[in-house]
Amino acid sequence: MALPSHISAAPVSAGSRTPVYALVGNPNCGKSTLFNALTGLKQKVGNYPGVTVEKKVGTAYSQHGQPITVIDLPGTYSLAARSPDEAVTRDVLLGRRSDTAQPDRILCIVDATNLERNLYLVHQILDLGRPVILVMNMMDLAAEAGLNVRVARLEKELGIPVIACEAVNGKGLVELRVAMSRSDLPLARHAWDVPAPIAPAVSELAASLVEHDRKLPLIARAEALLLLTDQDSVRVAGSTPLSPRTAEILHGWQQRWAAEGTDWAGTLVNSRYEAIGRIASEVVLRAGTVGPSLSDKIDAVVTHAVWGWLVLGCVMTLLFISIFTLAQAPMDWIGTHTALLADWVKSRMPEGDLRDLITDGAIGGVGSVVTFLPQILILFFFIGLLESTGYMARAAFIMDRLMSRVGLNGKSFIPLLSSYACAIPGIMATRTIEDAKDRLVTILVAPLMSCSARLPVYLLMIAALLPNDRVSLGAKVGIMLLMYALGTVGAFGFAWLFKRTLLKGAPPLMIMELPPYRLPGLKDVALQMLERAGIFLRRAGTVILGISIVLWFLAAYPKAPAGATPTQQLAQSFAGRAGHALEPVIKPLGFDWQIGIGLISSFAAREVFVSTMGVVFNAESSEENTAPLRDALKAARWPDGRVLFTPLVCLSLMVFYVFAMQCMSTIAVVKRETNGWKWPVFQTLYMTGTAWVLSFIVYQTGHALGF
Amino acid sequence: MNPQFQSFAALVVVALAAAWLVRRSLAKKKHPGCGGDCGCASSEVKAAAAKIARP
Repeated sequence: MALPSHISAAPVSAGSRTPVYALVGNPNCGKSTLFNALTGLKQKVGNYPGVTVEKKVGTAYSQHGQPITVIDLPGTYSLAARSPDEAVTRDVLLGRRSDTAQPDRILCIVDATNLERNLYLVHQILDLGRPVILVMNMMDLAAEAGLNVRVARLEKELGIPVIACEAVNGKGLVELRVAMSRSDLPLARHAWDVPAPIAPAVSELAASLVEHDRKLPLIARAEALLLLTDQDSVRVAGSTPLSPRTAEILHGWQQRWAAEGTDWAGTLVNSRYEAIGRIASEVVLRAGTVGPSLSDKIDAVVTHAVWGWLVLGCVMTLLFISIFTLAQAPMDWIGTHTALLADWVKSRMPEGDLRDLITDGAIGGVGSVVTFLPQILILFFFIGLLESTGYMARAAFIMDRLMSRVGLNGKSFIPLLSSYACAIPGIMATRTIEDAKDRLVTILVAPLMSCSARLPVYLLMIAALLPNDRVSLGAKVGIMLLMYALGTVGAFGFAWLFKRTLLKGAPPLMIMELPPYRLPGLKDVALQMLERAGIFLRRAGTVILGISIVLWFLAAYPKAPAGATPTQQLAQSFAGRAGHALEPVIKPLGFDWQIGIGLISSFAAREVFVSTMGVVFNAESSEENTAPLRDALKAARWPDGRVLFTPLVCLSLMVFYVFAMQCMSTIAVVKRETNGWKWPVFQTLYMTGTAWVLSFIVYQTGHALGF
Repeated sequence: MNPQFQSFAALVVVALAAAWLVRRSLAKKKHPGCGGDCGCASSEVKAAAAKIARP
C-alpha cells in the first residue's frame, strides 16, 4: 500500500531531550494501570470509566535506563471531544496546551475484548502522523471471551508495533519498554484514504489551517478532518478559535454540501468505520458461539430491578457494620495512647500555658481526629474493593433509574459516588459530563453526599447519642445509613429542583459501558488505603494541628481572673465570645455557644468540629486524667444543669452536618470549575440555609413530641 | 520552666501557627484545587508534572 504524501517513512528520533509519550485510549481500557506499571507511581485506578479527568505526568525508564516522560490522558472514544475531560486529551494531542509539550510519540492502549470500537480512536490518532505504539491490553479477558486476537496481523495491517499486554498482571511490560526504547519507531502504514469527493475540502481546510492558524501540516490535516465531521466547529476549535479565513472556508464547504443534500460528514465517518471493520474482521477470530459470560450471569442479579437494590443495600450495610465493629479495637488503642501521651506530658512539665497548649490544644485536637483513622481506612478499603471489581458501574446502572427521574445525568453517578470519599475529586469528575447545565447541577449537589470528613462527626455524635452498653449495633448502623441516605435524597431532591428552575434542560440519556468483573486488585486497594492514611495524617499533622493550636489560644485568652472555673474561662475567651455571639442563631437548633465554636471553626473543614470539641471540652475538664471525648460530651451541661448532648441535639447536629457546606477546599474547587464566585456563594448559602432549616425542624419537632 | 516563660513560648507557637495558616490560605497556587488533601492526584504525580514544560 502506498504511503500518503504527508507521511514520511524516515525513522524518528526523539532527539536529545527526554522523549514524551502520550498514553491514550478509550475509557476503562487500563490506561492508568499501565501508567502506574510503567512509572511506578500510584495514580488512582478503578474498574469503571471516567477515573482520570486530567492529564497526569510521570517518568518511565527505557530498557537502557533512559528517562521517558509519560502523560496519562483521560479516556475518550474519539478526538471529537464532547466533555471537558475529552477536550484535555484532544488538546494535548493537537499541541494546543500551553502548559504541556506536544507528545513526540503516542502509546495507544486498546481493550482487546472490544477491538473494533477501540480502533476508531486509534484510526484518528494515526492521522496525527506521529509514531504510535499500540498496546493490546486485556488479552487474558479476550481469550476468556473466546476471541483470538491476531496481534501480528494487526501489526502488519497498521505498520506500527503492537504489544500484547495484561497491564494489571505486569505481562508484556518488558516488550513495551523495549518498543518505547527504540529510537527508530516506524510511522503507521496509513490504512485509510479520505473519500475522493471530500479530499479537496480536507486539503483546502488543512492548507488554510497551516497558513492562517499556524498549525503544523500533519496536525492541520487531522484538525481539518475533525472540523469536517463535526457540526459544532466552535467546540472542535476549543480554546484556539479558527481564523476568519479558515472559518469562511469551512462554512463554504458545509453550505455547499448542504445545498447538494449529501451528508459528507457522515460519509467521512462511515468510510472510517468501513476501514476499521475490514481490519477487525482480519484480526479478531471468534471461537464459535459463546454463551453468557460470568459477568453476564452476575449482572442478571446485581442489575435486576429488585435484587439489584437489595444487593446495594446489603453492600452498604456490610460497609457500616465493618466500620463499627472492625475499627473499635484500633480506635480504642489510639484513644488510650493519645490520653496516655497527654498524661505523660502533664507529668513531665510544670503547670503553665505551654503545657496546656501541648496537651489540650495539640494532643487533644489532633488526637480526637486521628482516633477515626481506622474507620476512614475501612471506608476506603470498601470503596477501593468495589471500584476494583467493577461493581461501582453496576451501582451506577441501578441508580440511573432513580437519577433520571430527578433529571440527573447518568454520568453524574460517578462524580456523586466519588463524593462519598471526598467532594473534590467528585466535582473534578464532573468533567466527563458533556452538557454544561447537567455538569453544574452535579457540582451543586455533589457536596451533599456524605464525605469521609463527615464520618468522624457522625461517629462522635453516635457515640455520644448511643452508649455502647445500651444500644445495639443495628441501631448505630441504622442511624449511619440514615445519614448517608439523607444526604443522597437531599442531593437528588435539589437536583430535581435545580433542573426545573435555575438550570432547566431535557432529561439526559445515560450510555455507560459496564466493565467486566475482575478480581479485586488488592495491591491497588492497599496502596489507595495507604495513600488515604498518609493524606489523613498529613492533614491532621498540619492544618488540623494549626487550627487546634490557634483554637487553644482563642479558648485560653483573654485570661479570666484568678480562681475562675474552666467553664468561666472558656465563656469569656475569644472563642467563647464568638460562640455566644452565634448562640441566638443556633439555639433554636438545640446548640449552645460551645457547639457554636465548633460550627465556626469547622467552616475550614468538617472534621475540625471534632478537634474543636476536643480542645473546648478538654480545656474545660479539670481532671488530671484526660477523659475520652465522648465521655466529656456526655458530661456537658447547659448552665441550668440540663444535659447538652441529648439524643435529639446529636441528631439535629448530624442533620446540620449532612447539609451544611463546611469545606473551604470544596468552595475553592467549585470556584475553579465554574470560573467564578457566583455558584460557590450560591451553593454555600443554599446548603447552609437548608442545614439550618432541617436542623430546626428536627429539633423543634422532637422537642414538641417530648424528646 | 516558669509560667511566664511558658506563656511567652505558647504565644510564639500560636503566632507561628496562625501565620502559617494565613500564608497557606492566601498562597496563590499554580493549579488551585484540593492541594492534595483529597488524594485526587498523588504528590509524586504532581511533582513529576512540574518537571514537564513546553519546549
